[in-house]
Amino acid sequence: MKASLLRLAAPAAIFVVGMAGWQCLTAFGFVAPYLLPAPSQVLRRMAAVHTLLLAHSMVTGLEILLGFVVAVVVGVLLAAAVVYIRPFEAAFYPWIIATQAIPKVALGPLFIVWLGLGLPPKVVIGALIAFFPILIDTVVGLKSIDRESIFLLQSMGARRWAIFRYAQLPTALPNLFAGMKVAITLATVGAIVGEFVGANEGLGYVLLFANGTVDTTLLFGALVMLSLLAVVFYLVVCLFEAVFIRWHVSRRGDVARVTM
Amino acid sequence: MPNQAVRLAAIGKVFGSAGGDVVALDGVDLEVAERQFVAILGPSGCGKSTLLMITAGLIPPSVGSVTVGNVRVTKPLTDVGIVFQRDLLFDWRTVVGNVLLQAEIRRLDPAQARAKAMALLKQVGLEGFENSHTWELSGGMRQRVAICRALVHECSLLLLDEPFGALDALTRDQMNLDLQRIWATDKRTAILVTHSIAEALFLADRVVIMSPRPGRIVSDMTIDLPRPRTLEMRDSVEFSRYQREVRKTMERLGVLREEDTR
Repeated sequence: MKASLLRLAAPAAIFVVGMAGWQCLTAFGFVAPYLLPAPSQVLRRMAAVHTLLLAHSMVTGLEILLGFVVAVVVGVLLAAAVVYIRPFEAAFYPWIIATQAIPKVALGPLFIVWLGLGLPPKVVIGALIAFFPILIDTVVGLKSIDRESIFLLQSMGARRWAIFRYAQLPTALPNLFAGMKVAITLATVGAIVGEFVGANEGLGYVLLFANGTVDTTLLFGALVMLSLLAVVFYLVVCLFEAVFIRWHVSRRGDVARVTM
Repeated sequence: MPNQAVRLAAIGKVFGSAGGDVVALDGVDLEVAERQFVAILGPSGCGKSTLLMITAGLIPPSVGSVTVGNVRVTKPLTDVGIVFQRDLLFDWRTVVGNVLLQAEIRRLDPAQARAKAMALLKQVGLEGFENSHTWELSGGMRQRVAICRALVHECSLLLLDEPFGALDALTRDQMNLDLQRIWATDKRTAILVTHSIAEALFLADRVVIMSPRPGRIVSDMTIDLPRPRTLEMRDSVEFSRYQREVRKTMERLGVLREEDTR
């Protein structure tokens, strides 16, 4: 009880102190408001334009979500192909890894040309950036099963699908979730990059617009919304993780305390 | 319940490795009668675990054949329960869930399987732990769960691959007693691989000794001790005589050495 209170109170205290510091910094004139608006100013502005911010947040949120979902589907399927289809691994895996050397942000303009200004290029860029950690982690997870466990299941009459379902998939879940936690933040990066390259809506668009008019208050308002989006998505992934791998070593309170 | 005799004929196994081929098993012949408990005793690395996996159809032999009942084994045997040295429990399943894995994959009747699982867990002293997490159990308790998992489906052949090798001596004695009791209830054909002389003599009807690599069967003795065997019996004259005999054989093979010849 005491420990969980600390876990909530400590970050909250840091937040309050940080905000108060920021407020003082601007209120006492150390920094010009057009460079760094006070938090109170940002909040007032956000309240004033909340319909606009919410609408653009919905756009970016959908881009992040779809980019992430595509990344998970593609990442897991590719991982399964790499693990189960030997020729696929031999032929494609080196190339998949090699493509990671390309800065995918640089491909943004190309996707805008190919797919236009709307949702699709953002989803593609987000998925392209986000699938890699999922692929790598899932491959490791699926390969982590030992030979004896497979022997055990085979002696029960299990074929490949049953071995996957009863042993390999659960074994791989902790890795898959580790990959998804990285991927959800990368999907956010992808969506914003896509909007920077070319868009007429979304928080990235608002950021660029505010930048163009040197409207730092709006800029901060959009940043706050973006941070909130990212945090909420991350927490949702954590929630799923907590439900699906309750049994894992990393989630048993006693052990986690020692290793942290 | 059907029960099966096991026949291994001229089994050989060669593993390819970077340093050349390694002959793990060479011309192993072994017959285990129905409802007989045979212990295979041998030093580490003599290929006895490999032999057990070959018997189960999980590793193909390089030469020779395995027959269980009247059927030649060419793919993983399923009318079998295997206990490995590591308990191989799945952390994402409860204790009873781990036992029922066997039943789920075999698509047995859930209600019946559950009743059987509960009865088995009770038999090994795990009543009340059915819904515990695996990581809450001690090593001995975990291995008991693994034994229940190997028995829940009424198989006709039990293969035990150094099941108590990782346990402390006291727990091991208890497990030997438990295993004997469980086995005695419906006496299925059983093959136990072990490197403990006392364990082999305590549990088996026959003790087979294997030589160091390449693994061959060099001795086959019938253990004529009354059942149920007790821990006290291990101090008896007969038991000591068997023990001496096994040790002599092992010394002759160079597995055990009294004086330092290095």
